[in-house]
Amino acid sequence: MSQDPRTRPIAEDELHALIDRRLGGERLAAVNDHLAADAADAARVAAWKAQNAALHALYDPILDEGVPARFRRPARPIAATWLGRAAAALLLLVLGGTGGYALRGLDVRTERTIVLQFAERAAIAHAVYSPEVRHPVEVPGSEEAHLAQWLSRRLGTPVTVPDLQGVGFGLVGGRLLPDAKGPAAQYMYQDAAGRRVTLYLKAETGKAKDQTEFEYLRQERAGVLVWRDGGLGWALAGDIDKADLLRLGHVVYGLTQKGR
Amino acid sequence: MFGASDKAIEEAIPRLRRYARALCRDAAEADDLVQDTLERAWSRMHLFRREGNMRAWLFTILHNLNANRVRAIKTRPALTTLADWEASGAIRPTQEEGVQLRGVAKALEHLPEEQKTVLLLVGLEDMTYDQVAKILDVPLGTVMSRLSRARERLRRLTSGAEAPAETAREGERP
Repeated sequence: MSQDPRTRPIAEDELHALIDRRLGGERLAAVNDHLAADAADAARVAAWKAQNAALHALYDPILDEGVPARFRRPARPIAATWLGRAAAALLLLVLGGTGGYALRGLDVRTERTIVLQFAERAAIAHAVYSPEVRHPVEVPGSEEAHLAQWLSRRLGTPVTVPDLQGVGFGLVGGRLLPDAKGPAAQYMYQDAAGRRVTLYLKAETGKAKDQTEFEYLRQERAGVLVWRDGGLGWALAGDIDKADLLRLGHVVYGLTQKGR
Repeated sequence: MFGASDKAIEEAIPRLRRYARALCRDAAEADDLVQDTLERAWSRMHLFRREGNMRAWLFTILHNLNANRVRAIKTRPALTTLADWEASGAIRPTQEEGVQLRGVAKALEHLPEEQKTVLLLVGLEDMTYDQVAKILDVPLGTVMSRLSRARERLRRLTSGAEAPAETAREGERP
């Protein structure tokens, strides 16, 4: 403590303070002298500086994005008034009394998150079942009519099994799966080279947009094409080229349009 | 009465979003975190001391909400996470610089949450070590040791000297 500030050994914290511009006076000079003499520490400090620069390069663009409307304060926040608070408390009591069901039904996730999570479940189902040799499906493709009938009943909406033979993918079969809020179905197809793609679908009930464009997402091992159409959410998953998957998606889309 | 505070909150939004994006990576998840932060701030405005630092207060709220979020994620099965996703149309830098940036972004995900938080508050938000200690409610020494660990870890990860395997909690100096 009583050491001369110009000769006191350099502490690790001071190296950080240097690049964070929290160092002044004599210690600044002392640390710079130290770095001039110590190549290893100089390299570390240079790397840390580069990290800061990289963080700014990565995330500063967000500062210029402009504030989305959802972040504006509601004009008349109900919770800010006592009357409003009382009303809210009463509402909670009422809801609590009915088992809180109404609250649980509220979907607070964003549209984007919903799409991502749906795609994620489809990708997981693909990853789990497509490598399966002995039990890839519950109902084999040879019982296609039964498969469609069964899944229509379980999904609560009429579904058909798209025939992708024309583009080289034969039906392996299908299965019933649990999705976030109810059942989902998975059809599995395979081409002559043994490559498998799966088509994942579930009934869409919410008030969300009924028809969306294709959205392509890529995970480490599989690509997923997601869209919504005809009261169903669709996800086509496969470890094939994006262009191939997109072509296949268009075929499925066309076939399911005709089927209705 | 809330006019000045409202303005201070609004001015902080871009920085909250930047920080949240660096924490979550998934843009929608990050904005949800910011939205939760704002809603909490609006509803608790009466708890904010008028002479206080609004930005520090908001970052404290965001930090606490994020801690809950991270806990929730940890209890989820870890088969795959949203963070693995790369949306279509995402920036795919091909130039050398872009590759390096991606390396840093990727390496950041492999830092333990408490190290990442300190690194971002200091390196990106340019907060003082004292401010960071207050926001995280930890001693100054802990801030310094986390910062040091974070920077060294990131350096090893981006130089390829270390494989991004475990992100377990490391011991901390008191």
